[in-house]
Amino acid sequence: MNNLLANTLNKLNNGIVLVDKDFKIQFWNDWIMNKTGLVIVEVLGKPLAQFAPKFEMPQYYRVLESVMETGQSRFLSGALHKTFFGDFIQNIQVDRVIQYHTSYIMIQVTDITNQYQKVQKMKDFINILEMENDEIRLNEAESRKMAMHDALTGLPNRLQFNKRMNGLMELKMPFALLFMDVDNLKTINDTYGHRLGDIVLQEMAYRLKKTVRMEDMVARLSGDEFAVILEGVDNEDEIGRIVQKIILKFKPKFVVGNENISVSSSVGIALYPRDSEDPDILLDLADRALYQIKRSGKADYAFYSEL
Amino acid sequence: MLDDMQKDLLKEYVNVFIGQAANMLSEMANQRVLLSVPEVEVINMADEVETAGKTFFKHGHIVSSSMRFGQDFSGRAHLIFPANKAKLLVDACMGLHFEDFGTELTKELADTDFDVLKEISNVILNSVVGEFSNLVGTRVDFGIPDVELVFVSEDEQKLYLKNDVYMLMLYTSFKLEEAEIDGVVIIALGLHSLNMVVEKIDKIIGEMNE
Repeated sequence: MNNLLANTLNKLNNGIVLVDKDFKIQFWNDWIMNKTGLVIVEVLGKPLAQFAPKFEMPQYYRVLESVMETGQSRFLSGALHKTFFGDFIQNIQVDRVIQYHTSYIMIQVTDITNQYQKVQKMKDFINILEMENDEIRLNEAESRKMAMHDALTGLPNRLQFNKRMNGLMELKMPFALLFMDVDNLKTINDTYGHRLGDIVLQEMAYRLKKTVRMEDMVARLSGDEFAVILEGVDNEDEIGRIVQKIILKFKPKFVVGNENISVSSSVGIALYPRDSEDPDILLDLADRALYQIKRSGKADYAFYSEL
Repeated sequence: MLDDMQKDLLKEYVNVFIGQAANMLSEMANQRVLLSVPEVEVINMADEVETAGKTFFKHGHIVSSSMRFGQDFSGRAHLIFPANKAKLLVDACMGLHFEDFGTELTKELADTDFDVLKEISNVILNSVVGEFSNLVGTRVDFGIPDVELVFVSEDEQKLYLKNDVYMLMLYTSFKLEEAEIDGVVIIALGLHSLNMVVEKIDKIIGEMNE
């Protein structure tokens, strides 16, 4: 090759590889030498595929053939094909060059590693942001749950319970409010320790949930106080049957470790809207009914209206 | 500009040679790509665009790849997609699954996406222009298309193409496994080059009728 032309191509800031019709290397500029560490004397006259093995793959071999045959230039993006020469991400352009009726193929190589990495980094960064965002949302959901639920039993707490009562009252939906506690929790704690007492409370929560319908709410209001909202129920007989079922559920002894623990519970009942239309008063009325029945000394239930 | 028979013949030719481009795209996208040209028409830009009856592309951001070609038979070839559809095509070629398409926050085309679009346009326009040159029987030189993102308002559709008088419109439809992407290939020709195409078509029709 003409010296001036070769010197010029060697100054280019792109790779230039020239191959003949048999795809043997005829020229290899300094840029591609620096990128691959192969000097021109090592590659001259040798098959292109020896130094860029990807061109042995049928789809890339066909690209060379088709450019040689038709003269239609081809562009191959680094984003799709990654690398042909060396180990950097590159765009290549394949053109046909004709001199004295002899066709050559010129491959121009551009290093897009930085650009590619920049894009990859941006994509990674976006992924991380999305992941963090998901985490924050999860944490928020968790915090909301913690704010609304009792940590020991997983039941809704007083806050959530009040919200539900207010919600039903806004809708003018009748409901029965059952207020109950464990008659002998203090004795259980004193006899077996608080850890077992906690397990009894968890078991109570479980049994209560199993006894009522999906739409009813069971909440833990404090220490041994539980409350149940029976939605859409205002018939005393029906409520009585449900409460008896609850009391019956507590009859079987609670098996905790090696201990068989008896638990008894009493229930005070107030009805919305019949007894009161104020949530605090309603709860107070149910509490009064509970107090009355406990004073009678038996595990049973009482309606506020019967006091 | 063209009668039905000329249109049908042209459509048939274009569909045959665009099949080759589809095969190459399938290889790139690692999935079957069907490329069809359901409609072909020639539009005279001097006429009112409305009479052409169809908008070339929706206004908004478009990705336009274009290249000049030829001497004797010469013109400008465009491949145009709506920008959001172009992103789908890039994602498919990059091997992303459909549910991941465009899930990235930006949904914008990155530098490397333009490279992929350049490659796609290169394959398609080579096929179309190359085969047109075979059809008219003359050698046509051309290079690699330039890709640009352009915002085109409704009125500007016409302006965008105003330099070229005759437009051979090939409405293309890419069917990938999980997406369908409509684009348009526009071969803008001068009167002389358009006549070369029409004469050739008439000759073929004449030969068929003999």
